[in-house]
Amino acid sequence: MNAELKRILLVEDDPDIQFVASVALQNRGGFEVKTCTSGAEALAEAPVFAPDLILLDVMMPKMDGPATLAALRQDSRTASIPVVFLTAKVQPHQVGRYKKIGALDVILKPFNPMTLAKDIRTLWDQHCASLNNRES
Amino acid sequence: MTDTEFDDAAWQMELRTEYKKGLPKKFSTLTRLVTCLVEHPEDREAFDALCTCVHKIRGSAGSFGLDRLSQAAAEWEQQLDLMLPDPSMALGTGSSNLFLQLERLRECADATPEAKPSE
Repeated sequence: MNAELKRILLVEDDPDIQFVASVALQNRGGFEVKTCTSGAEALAEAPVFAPDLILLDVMMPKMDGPATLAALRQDSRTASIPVVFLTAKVQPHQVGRYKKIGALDVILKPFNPMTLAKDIRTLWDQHCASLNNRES
Repeated sequence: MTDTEFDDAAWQMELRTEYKKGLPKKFSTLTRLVTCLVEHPEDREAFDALCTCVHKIRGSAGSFGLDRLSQAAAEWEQQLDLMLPDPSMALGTGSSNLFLQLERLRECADATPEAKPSE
């Protein structure tokens, strides 16, 4: 797999984080970014927008990040989209748990908006390399 | 705007200024919730709302360059987490501490310089 990362779905209920992350990803990374404010909205939007990657907040009201991820995995149209969690509250053992339930990785808040796009691209490249290794 | 056109320092200053514009509203919410909890320590809804508000500041302030504010919010959140099993009991014995935490947050926010007007 050597696909290019172009479209990112950002799922985040905090308007401040939504603003800074989308500006960083669009202006700095050149990505096409669509934002959702809830897990339910993400479930409706993901099959339509067809993102290459989803950046998903962990703590959201009603449907949190892990519940949203589980629902995305149940839908054949979104099941294989890589998901990166975004969270301010994480213990080392939780990172392992998030990966176990299917997250590609975890980005901690606060993040550096100057390097967010680069960090996401690095995760994407690692993901592609890992898929290629599995195939060969 | 491409990568090379992006002026990091200018953007960081803009981000800080933008975030500071929203701080009065955040502090107004925090003050309302703290006042409510001092008067009614048993108000679980207010406690949960305070936790959410502090958590959001912890996560967002640092991304806008207000690192001290983010750190102060993280420390307050840790204290609130310790109260989670029984907030009313913890608040009943030390609710005035909430105002001290709020004041500390305010000091950290005020200590961050704003962008200078462009010449």
